[in-house]
Amino acid sequence: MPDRHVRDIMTRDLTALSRDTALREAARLFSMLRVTGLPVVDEHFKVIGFLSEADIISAVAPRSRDRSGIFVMDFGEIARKMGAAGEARVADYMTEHALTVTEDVDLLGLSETMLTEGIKVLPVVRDGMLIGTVNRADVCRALMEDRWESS
Amino acid sequence: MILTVTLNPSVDKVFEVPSFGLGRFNQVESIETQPGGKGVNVGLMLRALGHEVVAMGFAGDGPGRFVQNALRDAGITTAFTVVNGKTRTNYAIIDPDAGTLTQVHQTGPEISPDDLAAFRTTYERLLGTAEHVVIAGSLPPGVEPTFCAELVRLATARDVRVTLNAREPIMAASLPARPFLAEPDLRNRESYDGFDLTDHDERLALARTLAESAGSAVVNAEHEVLLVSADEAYAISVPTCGLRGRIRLDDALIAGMVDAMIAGGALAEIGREGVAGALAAAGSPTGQFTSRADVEGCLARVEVVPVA
Repeated sequence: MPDRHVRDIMTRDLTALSRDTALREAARLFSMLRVTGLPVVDEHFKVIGFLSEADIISAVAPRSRDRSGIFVMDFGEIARKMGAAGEARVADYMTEHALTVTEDVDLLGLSETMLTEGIKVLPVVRDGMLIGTVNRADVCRALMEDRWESS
Repeated sequence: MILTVTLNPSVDKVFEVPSFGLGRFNQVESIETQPGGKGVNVGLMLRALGHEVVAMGFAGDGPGRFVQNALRDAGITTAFTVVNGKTRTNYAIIDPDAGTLTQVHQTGPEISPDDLAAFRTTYERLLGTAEHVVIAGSLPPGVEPTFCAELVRLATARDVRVTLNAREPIMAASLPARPFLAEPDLRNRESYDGFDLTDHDERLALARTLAESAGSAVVNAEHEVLLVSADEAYAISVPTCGLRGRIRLDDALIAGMVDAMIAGGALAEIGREGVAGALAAAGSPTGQFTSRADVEGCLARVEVVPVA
């Protein structure tokens, strides 16, 4: 485990939002990609924020819990129902100064950050530019593989 | 970083069916599933040569997911525009007994104006760090040849070289934007822009005509690659290759040429490495070369002949 780093387990995909991306479009992307959040980048792919599913839910339906108290998570449905909130822009709801991680962070450091900050997805940056993301599933997969190798 | 643009990627299914017959029952011997689309293939081979590659295009659900995962597994960074429709699946039926290759291609998902705008935004962002752009393959419904021309123009305006491999309407629209290297896709064609492709002199005339707009031009037909720039011209013979190699011959040629262009090679060297790439790919079971050693092993077999 100590030898593994973000670069070994990250997802090398640059799907990202812009400040002026419509919230409706962000919801469509979350639904299509089955992700829980996406980085927001400027014209040079510099990470300037992060938009999570919680940000979208709070924008559309601040109290959208069903009777069991569980969030309604069907983003396809939310995108269709968005109405006025759909015209809102990512910049209005994103988290600015979002946490990022670099490729050389080891798995232990990454796991700690995710747990202590309660984060599911982190943008991976090189010189501030987006080069991919790393999520909890990536971490779990890596830990599982290490488990198999050591047993 | 090399940016590859595959506007209409695909999942390629290759069926091996001995004694394949139309209008009757056929038994498949083997099925291979591979990511496809010309730009995707070129990107995979450039990655095999050790280049940092970012792959772009339009990707829908299902097969689109497969293509992106396969690219990332190969170490390529993906930056596809997510569209609502499904990425296409293309079918190739190889009959080893008859020596025939039958291909059935889908058109691809409908691309909306919003998708085009989103693609353009990502493309312009990535041009900032790209040293070469490869645009190759067909267009899905909703994407006009002028869009391709615009992509070439945006890159050349930033002094980023473009290699373009596409069919006639796309090539015709994009040539005024001056790609660095233009290779028309001549598969299943007997003529192009009035030039008879079965005739060597006419093919050379076509290459010279293309090179008047593009920096250099490649015409690959009848087992011969003609490579022409404003002041040089070369002919390289390409031996007949197996059925699988034939599917991706152009893609391997382009990957080899782009590698040589980035290394700063002269026109003759660009042609030599391109054809070496094609030979290496033709000799592999998947129709793609998988290492630099594969390509270098074929360099000695390539004879580059200057043309007057």
